[in-house]
Amino acid sequence: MAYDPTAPTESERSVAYYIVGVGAAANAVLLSAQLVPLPSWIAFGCILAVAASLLVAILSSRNDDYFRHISFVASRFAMGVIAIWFCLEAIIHAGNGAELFGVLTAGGQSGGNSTVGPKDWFASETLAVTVAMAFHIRFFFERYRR
Amino acid sequence: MKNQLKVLRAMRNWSQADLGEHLDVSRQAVNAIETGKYDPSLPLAFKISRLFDLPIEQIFDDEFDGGKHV
Repeated sequence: MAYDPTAPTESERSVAYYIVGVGAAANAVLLSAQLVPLPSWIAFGCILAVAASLLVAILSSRNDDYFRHISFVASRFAMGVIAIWFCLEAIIHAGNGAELFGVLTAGGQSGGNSTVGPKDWFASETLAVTVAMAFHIRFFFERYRR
Repeated sequence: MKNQLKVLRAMRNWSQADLGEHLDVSRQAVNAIETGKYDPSLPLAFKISRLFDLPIEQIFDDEFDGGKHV
């Protein structure tokens, strides 16, 4: 194989694992901020660390085979969490639809406003924090499992 | 998948980081392969084979026949 002077060294490749570790810790802090308010400068740092961790895990082509493998497994798991989230959303909206159907068949007027606007789908950062946490948990489960 | 990577590395007095440097992977990747947690990709398996100058089947054992060589 041709010599590549820009190829990352072993220690540079190892750093990626530590960055994801820092991201996981920051993600746990962000998750706890859903219950206990955080100073904004801590939240800023944590959001930045989680973003860096996910970008390193997903975008970097300089990672090795094993890192890419566990990133793939963790990404699939995170997708599963999103799918479950959408299933729960669907159940909630099915309930709203059933209520509307009941009101209409009873000859009454619909009192509820069960429309869904962009705010309903994108306002929640809980989903983002939860999915990122799912990614980090699965990443480290895959890394340290026997 | 069982493999002889740890033995081959020890014969050369290399650390996992040293082997990682030779294979262009991280120390963590070498550890995962040695402990059987991760099976290397075909290009990496060939790289290992070339590094130790041994056929792949002498380094890796797929255990399909209960660990016995046919």
